[in-house]
Amino acid sequence: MDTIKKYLESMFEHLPKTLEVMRAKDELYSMMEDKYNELISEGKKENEAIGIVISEFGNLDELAEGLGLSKVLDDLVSSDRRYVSRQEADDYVDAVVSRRFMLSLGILLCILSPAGPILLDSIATATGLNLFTGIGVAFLFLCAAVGVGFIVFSNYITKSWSFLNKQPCYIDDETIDYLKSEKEECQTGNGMLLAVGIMLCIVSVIPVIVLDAALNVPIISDGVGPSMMFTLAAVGVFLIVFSSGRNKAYKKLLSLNKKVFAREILQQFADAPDNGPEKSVKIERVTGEVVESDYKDASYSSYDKPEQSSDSTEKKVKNFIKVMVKDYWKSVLCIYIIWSFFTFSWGSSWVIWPLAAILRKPIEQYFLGGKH
Amino acid sequence: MVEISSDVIRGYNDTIILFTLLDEPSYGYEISKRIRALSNDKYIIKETTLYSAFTRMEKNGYIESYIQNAENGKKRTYYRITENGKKYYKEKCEEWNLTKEVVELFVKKTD
Repeated sequence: MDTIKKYLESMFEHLPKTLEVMRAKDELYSMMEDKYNELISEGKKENEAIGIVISEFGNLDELAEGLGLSKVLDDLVSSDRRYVSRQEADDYVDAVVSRRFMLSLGILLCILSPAGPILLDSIATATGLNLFTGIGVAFLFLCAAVGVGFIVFSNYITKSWSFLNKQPCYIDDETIDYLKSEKEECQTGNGMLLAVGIMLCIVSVIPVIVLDAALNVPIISDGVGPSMMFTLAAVGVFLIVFSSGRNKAYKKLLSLNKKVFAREILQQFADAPDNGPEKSVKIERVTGEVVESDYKDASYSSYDKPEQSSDSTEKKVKNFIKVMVKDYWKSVLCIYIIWSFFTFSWGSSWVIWPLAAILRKPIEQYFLGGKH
Repeated sequence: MVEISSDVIRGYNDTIILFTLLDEPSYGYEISKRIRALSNDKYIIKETTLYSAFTRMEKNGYIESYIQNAENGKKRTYYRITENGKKYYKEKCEEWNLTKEVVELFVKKTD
């Protein structure tokens, strides 16, 4: 009988462990057991009986068809998972990319804004026309205003997709394969964008140094040089921020199936037959990836640390920081503008953008407790 | 030796299984044993075929399943035919009669 059990185990090894499949396995085992016992009672030898049972078992393809394993995700955990079609996945990627573009453009304009007064101020000094100073300042405010507008607006582009975070969703195998290949394909391009972006940020100081050393003309060393630095840095940061957008969208979509919501696990316990729990907590996807069911998911929004009870002001500060981190780019923008206007160090304050882009992951991890 | 055409029989597995359930509810192995006996050992239905037929017919509402303890204390899933299932069985019988009638017209007597 052990041989039959092992045989059945090996047949089912690669199937997802859904309730339906587990039921099929139990039922098939029961039938095989009955057959085996009867053959033995008829006087057949053990080996002979096993041979007959296994040869008359049939094949799993037939079973897969009957169980609807091609759309097994329907039954993955609970049926109220929302299906995300390939078309929708594509639309989502597009939305994220345009959102990123908007955000990057906003940041670009913010960094670029001081380039106006710097350049036009030097022109004003050189030509003696004060009008240029005015235009420069106007440029600064206009640029910053449009930039801030873009950053704020970018959030709304993906608003209609917020259900991906709030509701259990899934994508089918075909979409998974498609997204994986798309992700792979965009990897090189994005790497390039990132590299060029970082390069531009680094070389942005070169014009200032070189032009200052080579030509001792005020309009060049005070005007063109610094404004070029801002332009290069702006484009560089734009590329850095923009480069990761598409990849992030793919990652998010590909993680949909793995995201198990705590209430679904509870649901599973309720649904599972009496011997079920240990089988049902671990859900294996068709692709063979083992998914860890994460109870922490349920409480991620309550940032609880042991010392939480100590002081309520401390808690408030923590909450404030948490909200700030959640709206990351808006917070960075706030800091950037406050810092720049108070110190008027436009020449160096833009550094906050590349720094923010680099530090985003660790900061989020630290404050939001590895939610991503 | 001639064997049954699996293509043809596939379309009538449901009919065969429903027939064994007409009189009383039954469980997996007993159904397969009856099919074998009634066909004089000529048709041995595979376990996977049987189970996928169960799930399909249950989904379509032709049969219902319930758990019952057998004499030896083993828990078994029993299947019972529904009114829908009886109706479906009748339709399939009529379909077969017609099919048989037509195919027969083209089959030469071998002896």
